[in-house]
Parts: sequence; structure tokens; C-alpha cells
Amino acid sequence: MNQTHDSRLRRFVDGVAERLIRHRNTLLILFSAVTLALAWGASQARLDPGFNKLIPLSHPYMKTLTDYANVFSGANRILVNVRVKGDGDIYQKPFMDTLRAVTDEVFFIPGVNRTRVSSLFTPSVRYTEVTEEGFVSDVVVPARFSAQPDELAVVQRNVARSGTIGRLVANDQKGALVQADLQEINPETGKPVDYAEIAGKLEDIRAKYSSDGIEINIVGFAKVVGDVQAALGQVFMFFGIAFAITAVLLFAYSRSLKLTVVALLVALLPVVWLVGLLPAFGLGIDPMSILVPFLIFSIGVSHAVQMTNAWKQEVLAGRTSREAAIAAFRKLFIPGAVALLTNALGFMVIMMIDIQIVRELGITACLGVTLMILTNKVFLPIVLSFLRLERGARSSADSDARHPLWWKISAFATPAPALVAIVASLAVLGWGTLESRKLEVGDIGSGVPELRAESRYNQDHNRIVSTYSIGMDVLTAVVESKTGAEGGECLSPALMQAVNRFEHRMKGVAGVQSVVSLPSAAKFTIAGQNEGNPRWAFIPSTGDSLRQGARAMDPQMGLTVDGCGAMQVLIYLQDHKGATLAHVGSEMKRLIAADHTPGVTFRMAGGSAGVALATNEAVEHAEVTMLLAIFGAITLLCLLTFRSWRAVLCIIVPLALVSILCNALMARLGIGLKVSTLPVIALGVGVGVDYGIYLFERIEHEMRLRGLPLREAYYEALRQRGTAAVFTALTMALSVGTWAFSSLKFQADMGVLLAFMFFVNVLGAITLAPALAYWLNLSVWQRQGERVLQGEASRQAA
Amino acid sequence: MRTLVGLAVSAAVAAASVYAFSPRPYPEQAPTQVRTDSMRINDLALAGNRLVAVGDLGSVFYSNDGGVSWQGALLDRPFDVALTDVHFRDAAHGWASGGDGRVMATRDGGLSWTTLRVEKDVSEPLMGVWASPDGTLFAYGSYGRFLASSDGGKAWQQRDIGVEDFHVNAVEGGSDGRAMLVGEQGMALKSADGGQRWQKLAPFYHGSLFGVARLDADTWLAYGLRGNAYLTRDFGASWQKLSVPMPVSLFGHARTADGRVLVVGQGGSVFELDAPGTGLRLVKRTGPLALTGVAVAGGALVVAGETGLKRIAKEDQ
Repeated sequence: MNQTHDSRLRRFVDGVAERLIRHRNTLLILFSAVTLALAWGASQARLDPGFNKLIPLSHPYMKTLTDYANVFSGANRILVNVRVKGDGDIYQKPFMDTLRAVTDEVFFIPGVNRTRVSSLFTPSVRYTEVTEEGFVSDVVVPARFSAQPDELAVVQRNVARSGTIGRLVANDQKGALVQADLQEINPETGKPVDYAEIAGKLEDIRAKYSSDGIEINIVGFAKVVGDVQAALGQVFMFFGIAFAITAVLLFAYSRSLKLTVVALLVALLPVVWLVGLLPAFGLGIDPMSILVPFLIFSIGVSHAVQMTNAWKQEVLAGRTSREAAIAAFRKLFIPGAVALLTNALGFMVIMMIDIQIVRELGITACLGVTLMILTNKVFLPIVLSFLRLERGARSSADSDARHPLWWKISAFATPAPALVAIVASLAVLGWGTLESRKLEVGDIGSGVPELRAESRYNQDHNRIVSTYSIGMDVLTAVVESKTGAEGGECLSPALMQAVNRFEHRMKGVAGVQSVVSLPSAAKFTIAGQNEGNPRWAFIPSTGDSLRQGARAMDPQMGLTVDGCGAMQVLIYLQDHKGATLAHVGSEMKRLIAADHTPGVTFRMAGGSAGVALATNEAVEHAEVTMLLAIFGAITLLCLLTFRSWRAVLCIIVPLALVSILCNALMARLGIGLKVSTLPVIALGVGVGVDYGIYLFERIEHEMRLRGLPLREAYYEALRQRGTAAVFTALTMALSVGTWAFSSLKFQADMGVLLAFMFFVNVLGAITLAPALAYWLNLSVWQRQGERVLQGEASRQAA
Repeated sequence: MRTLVGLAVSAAVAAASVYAFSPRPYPEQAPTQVRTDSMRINDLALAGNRLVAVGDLGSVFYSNDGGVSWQGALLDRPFDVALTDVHFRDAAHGWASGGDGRVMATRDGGLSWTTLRVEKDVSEPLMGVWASPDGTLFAYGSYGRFLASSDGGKAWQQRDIGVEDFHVNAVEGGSDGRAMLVGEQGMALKSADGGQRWQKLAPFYHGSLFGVARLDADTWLAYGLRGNAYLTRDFGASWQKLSVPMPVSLFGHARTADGRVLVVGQGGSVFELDAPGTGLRLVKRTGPLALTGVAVAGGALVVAGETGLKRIAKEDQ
């Protein structure tokens, strides 16, 4: 049954091969036309910073975030820190002049909400003092300030009384902030604000005002976007380097300029097609999916090497180019297409992750490898059929003599070396498993995870966090209220006391730095109304008494909406490490559930830490699903291809081992499991399975059809395909390895891990897989082969 | 047999995979606790050797180790508003008061508390309770509240002693029945008969007074807004303004076992009345925010205020 099915498929492939080459002229023109059209499309592709795609939008926390995105917009804040270098404090003329100028410049950046800019020079920053005569409140920097010594002394005194130290003035009084909120839509133009433009303007401010005595630090979401966009340009350089490395290696390997050029061009083809097709799918290139072209190029080279290698071997065996192309197609179409389909499946699995940017990565990569079936398996043989192999390339061909290296390696298919390989693997497995348990979800370092720790941005970030009391990692809860209190929800003692209790309890949670809520502001105001006596600073239990705190209930303060139907509680965290987020998140959940107030709902969670928390939860949730799906898919495809559970285990077990090792490596390198590293295992396994499929397809052929013993069959597989496989692994590892130098942290992480996966997978495929083949008794294939040969022999005899 | 080896290896890898990718526990974090160092604590008093502190969210904490560790006391009716004052007559008997006109009493040195009174419709705080040597309890506070109970706190009557609707911020008295009352806008009254009759003192300051300390029958210290502190040596007939190094408002005081008078206030400052009684000397600055209560226990200085409880060991004072 199997045999007839096999031969039917083989006859079909043979037929396709013949037809392909017969119509090669037409097809060549067709392919060229498609390429030209898509190349034009590729030039239309746009870069997209894709930050909104990083948010797991269907997570319940993110629903809260989007519901109130327009109300509590404080998240999109820019901070410009003007700081004195060396000795001295801010109370000196050069500093004050610079701070005033920077305040003005920030004020005029397009998209900045001009009513919410604050610094010592804005009228919104005041000091208040309770005197015998009552409240005194005035601006911190007096009108007509000209930085005379007596005026500087007044400013210094006012700053001390304004409560801005730690917020707008550094704790060590050597720096002061200009704080601004960005609007999503620029009210002057009606268009969405351009982050790149804002980041550029901020950089101009830095260039203009930095001096020997003054340092400028800039942080804020817009600046991150700008820096990431600027860094994206580097990717083209990395692509160039990868291309050059591949070209050199290809030439060294094939010693044929023609084959090198053909392989490179054919590998580039799916990249061009893919980028050309993206606009048609409504997709852009974001910082993560920009890596797909590398991947596609590398995989393309890998398959092109297999194909050109097979073609070359046929030519060396004395066939014409045309015959050799047909033979190569016949030999490689099935394993190649299966391998590519497995890749595609692997990438499709990534789409299960509920984060847009990862999903698009999956779609893009899936599309890319599918296109490759056409370009590599169809277009390449056509090109090869026109080619004449150079003399130089011919001379290098090895004869029938045994290839010494491959013969040695094929010993892994014999008992003792196989045992050694297995024992060594088990040892590595034990270490890797223990080490992989140390893997952490989420970010591990401080600062923004997109950029490296030593980047300018993160240095600025650390400077501000270390000299001010404000944190950058804020988790917010939104409190919705329908108590029906007279005069607005803010006058509902039940609501205010519930929020006050929540704030108090959250302060006791490990990892929480401070909490800001409307009740705490109202308490402060109430005490202020009573001679500043702190004993009055509490939430009273009648609406009338609460009225004394009304000044804090102004929606302009950013803590509540008009009418107080919703207010936000800002929980500043010590850091945004995964463990901290998870702990604070679970405690928050527990505290909310344990204290119910009728009409009052606490909703989690917004703020930068809220997004990170939701993302971590989504990533954690997705990890196992994704692994099960990819391994399930590979198992199924291998089972369909080889119809042997033994072969499936030989291919899957090394991949599983390498996946564990990848996690162990992440733990060792301090790389967290997050949006960018989550797809790595799926990508690595999806690509790594190629080697196994190519090798075992040959082993199966040699054993099941020619009756060779395991070691001989394995040697044949290595001889015909091993070089190409190792070569491929090397070029792919090198080309993704170039990302390690990216200034984008997540690209660097992905590069290192993918290089590891690509390279170690081939090691697994040529050492552990044959060892398992021996110990799983794959020799049953040989007996099947012997029966086939006997059958043929008896048929011939008859 | 051979196949069994291969299967065993596969099973080992499968088992390792399940373990490697099973949910990874996060490192253990410190358990959530009530942070006495980040909530508003309004007052602090000694019940024998035990420290008792009261503050926001109806919290009462006690410490048996001089402020190193704090435990929550047992309340018969927990509540959310703040307690503003705690005061002990002896090691066992004490009273605490606060928002919603609340008065609570303890008979076991602050471990457990019984509610004596609470109001429903008005939430203005009481600022303290004074137990007169004649057995009457006086509770006083915002908007001229001056309540008296002669049955140990079951029934309370408002007494008109001429404080109008000014906040009564503090009352202190001694076993001889001499007492003094201070409040908003420089208001000061004295009583010589355990609080039954009060006499208004001649104005000596027009800003708010937050506290009064009895040093002896004739010598009293009153303090208030912006570094204003006054001393009388003739039971209130005449007052001398004390020199205070910083213009910070003063909110609380304590007399130590060795007879020193400590006064605390804004800017985390702790002052001590100097020996000649002419000025307050800065002893310690504990942080940027205001202090409202102070005590010395086992040599350590313990302060209470906007940022909670803080203990300063003897060697750091």
C-alpha cells in the first residue's frame, strides 16, 4: 500500500519536473515579471514603530487601559532634566537661564499639551504656606525674574516650600525638570503627532543647551519611539553584512561564482516578494518583523545550497545541466517542500500568541517560507537548467572514495559512539533542565527594555530615577464609582475611604515604592484648610466634610474625570522586573477581591507597568501552547512523511533538547522570556527541523529502497546533504548573529538566541539523531529495503 | 532491548521538557504587611513601658520593644477615619479620639479598645480627651467642641466655655486640677478646678496654637504655627516668646522620664526646650515631612507623623 502511494507521488513529482523544464522559458519570463512587480511593491513598504502592537489588547487589563486612554493620558509624558555638572546647585544664573529657555522650547514642540507643561518657570507650579493671616500661595519664580542673587535666594526658599523637591527639582538640588504631556492628535494640524519629529526636536534641545556646565537628560515614550526608529536604519547595514558573509561562505563552499550568484539571487527573491506583498496585506515592517527578511534569506540560502549541491553532484556524475536540474528537483522537491511547510507551520503557530506584533511576525514569516517553495523548488531548477558549471568547480569534486570526516561522523550510528552521544546528551539535558528553571518572565534589567542598558536613553532614565523621587514604572488601577453621592462621586465617603484603604494596603506590598491617589491629595488639602494641621489629614465620613478637599478633585490634576465617575490610583514600583510585576499584580488582585464596597469597582491595570504585567501574563500563557502546537505540528508532518514513529522520535528528541538548552542559555545570559524572545524557540525549531528532514529523507531512501545498513545509509545522507546542512547552519547562525550588534536590545537578544538554535540544532541532527536511530532500532527500515530488493530480484527472475 | 534504550532516552527528554516548561515559580517576595512607616500616624504615648500610636484608617499600634516592632491593637468596632490623639492616665487606662467625634478607651494599657462614643452626621475630628482628676472626662476638638462626661464616657454634654466655634487643639492638666486649653487664632484658656470653669487668657499670639505642655503648676509651654512657642512662669498671666531656630509649625510634644521637654513639627524636626527656658534647640531632623508625636522609650527616640513611625536609636540621636 505504502509502496504504491510512494511511487504514485514519485511519478507525479517526475512528471512535474519534466514539464517544468519543458516550459522553462515561459516560466522564467513569468517569474521575472512577478519579481519586477513585487520589487516595485517592496519600495512602497513602510516602517512602523509598532508600539501599539506590543500591547496584548484582548487582555482584560488592556481593556481598562483602552477604555480610559483618552481620559488619563498622563502616560505619554516627556521629561527633560536640566542638570548642573560638577559642583554647585541650581540656584545660579546660567542654570536658571537655561531652564527657562528649555521650558520655552518644550512648550513650542508641536503636539505638546501647552496647558500641562510644568517647570519652575510655569505658573502652574506654586508654593503655598499657612500663615497667621491664612493661606499664601504664589508662583515659585517671581515675575520679572532676572537671576539676581537676592532673587535666587527667594526662589530657593519658595522651592523648599512648594513641595516640588523630588518631583520637579532633584533631591540633591542639582537639577530641575521640564515636564510635558503629549497629545495623540496635534490640535493645530488635526493629524496624529509625529513621534520621530518630536524626538528630533528634543535631540535639538539637547544639542543646543548641553555645555561644560549643563547636562540635559531626556526621557519619555516619544523619545523611545524616536530612538527605536533611528536604530531601525541599522538593520539595512546588518543585512548587508549578512549578505556579504553568506556570499563569501557560499563561494568558499561551492568554488563556483555562478552557483554563488544564483544561490544568493534566488535566496533574495522571496525577500523581495515578501516585502512587496506586505503592503497588499496591510502590513508594515516593525522592529520585530524586520528580522523576517534575514530569516527568509537564510532559509532561502539553505534550500538553495541543497538544490545547487544536488545539481552539482548530478553534473559531476556526467549529466547535462538540464538532466541534472530535473534530477535535483526530483530528489529534493519532497523533502524541501515538507521542510518549508513545516517552517510555515511553525511560524503559523506563532500567530496563536495574542500580541499583535508577534502575530504579524508569524504571518510575515509564514508567507515568506511559503513563497520560498515557488522560488527555491521551482524557479531555482529552471535557472540551474540554463547553467554550465565552471571548470574550477568541477575539479574540486570528490570521487567515489569515502569522505573521511563524514565516515567518522557516521559512526554515531554504531552502538558505542551512539551510547556516548546519548550519555553526553543526557548530561547536557540534566544541566539544561535545571538551568532553564531559572528563566524569568519579563524584563530583567532596568530602563526601557527596547534599548540597551548602556544606551543614551537608559542612562538618562537612570539619572532621572536616581535623582528624583518619581519612578518611571507605574501601575495604575481605575476606580469606577456609581454610589450616587450628592455633589459628585468624589464626595462619596464610601468611595474615598475604599480608595484610601486600597492605597494604604498597596503601600505594604513588596516592590511598591509609593502610591498616589485622589484621597491622599484630598487629605492634604483638607489639612491645608485647617491651618496645615496634619491631624486633619484623613478622609472624613460625611460628604460635607469631604468638600474641604475639593481642590484635589479637579480633573485638571489628572487623577479623576469630571464628576468622579472614575479615578486612577498610581502605584509606583521599584522596578519592572517580571517577578516584581507578578507579585504586585497578584497582591493587587487579592486586595481588590477581599474588600468590596457597593457601587465601587476597582479595575486593573494601566500604566507602563500595567502593560508590562499584561504582556508578561500573555507571554507566559502563550509559551506552553506555542510549544505544544509547534511540536505537535512537526510530529504530524514527520509522521506523514516517514510513516515511522522511530524516525519521528529521532528528529523530535534532539529538537526538544535544544529547546530546553535555549531556555537555559536565556537564564544564563540574563535574557527574560518576553514578546521578542517568545517566538525564538518556535522559529529555531521550525528551521532546525529542516536538517533532520533532509537527512532522514535520504536515510529512508537508502535503507528502505536500497537496503543499506544504518551506518552506510547515514553516511550517504551525510555525504549528499550533510555538508549543505552544516554550511547552512553556519551561514544562518552568522547572519542572524550580526543582530547581536544591534542597538536595539531585543534584536540583539533574538539574534544571539536564534544563532544558538540554528547551530546547535544541526549538531543535534548529525550526532544525537543517528545515535537515537541506532538505539531506536531504525534498522527495521533496512529489512523493509531488503524485502523490496528481494521482490524486485524475484520479479526480474520471473 | 535496543529499542527500549532509545525509548527510555526519549522518555527522559520528554519528562525533562515537561519539567523545564512547566510554570516557573517566581522568587518568594516579602509578604504584604501594614507599613507603619508610610502611613499618617498622628500621636504617640507611653502606657508604662509600652508605646501606643494612633493614626489614619482607625489604626492603633502598640510596641513592647521601644518602637522596634509594632502590632495592631484589638478594636471593638474597626473604622476608616483617623484617630488624632492618644493619652494615658496611668499604665493601664487611656483614651484615644479622632474623626466622627469618636472616643475610645482602654483598660489594659492599649492592647484592646472599647468605643465610648461616635457621631453619625458630623465627621469633624475630636482632638483629644483629658481625664480630669475629679473623674470627669473632657473631649475637645474642631469647631469649639468641648464635651464632658461624668459617668466614664457613657453620656456626653457639650459645655459652653467661651471657645465659640474655634478649633480646640489641645488641653493638658495636672493632678492639682490646674489645666490649660489652646486652639485656633491664639485662643488660650486656663482652669484651676479640674476643668469645670475656664478663664480666657489675655491674647499673646494671633496665630493657631497646636499644643500646650505643663512643666509644673506655674510653668507652661504653648506652641503653634511657624516657629511660635511661648513660655509662662505664672500660670498664664504673662508669656515670653521663645527663640526657635526655624520658622516651622510645631504639632506635638513629650516630657521624658528625665524631665526633658521635646517638641516636634514640620520638616521632621525635633526640638528640646533649653535649660534656661528661653528657646527651643534643634535636636534632630528626621525627614522632610511633618511630625506630630514623639516619645522616648528605652533610650530610643520614637517619632510619629506624616510618614509614619520612625525609631531613632540612642547612638543616632
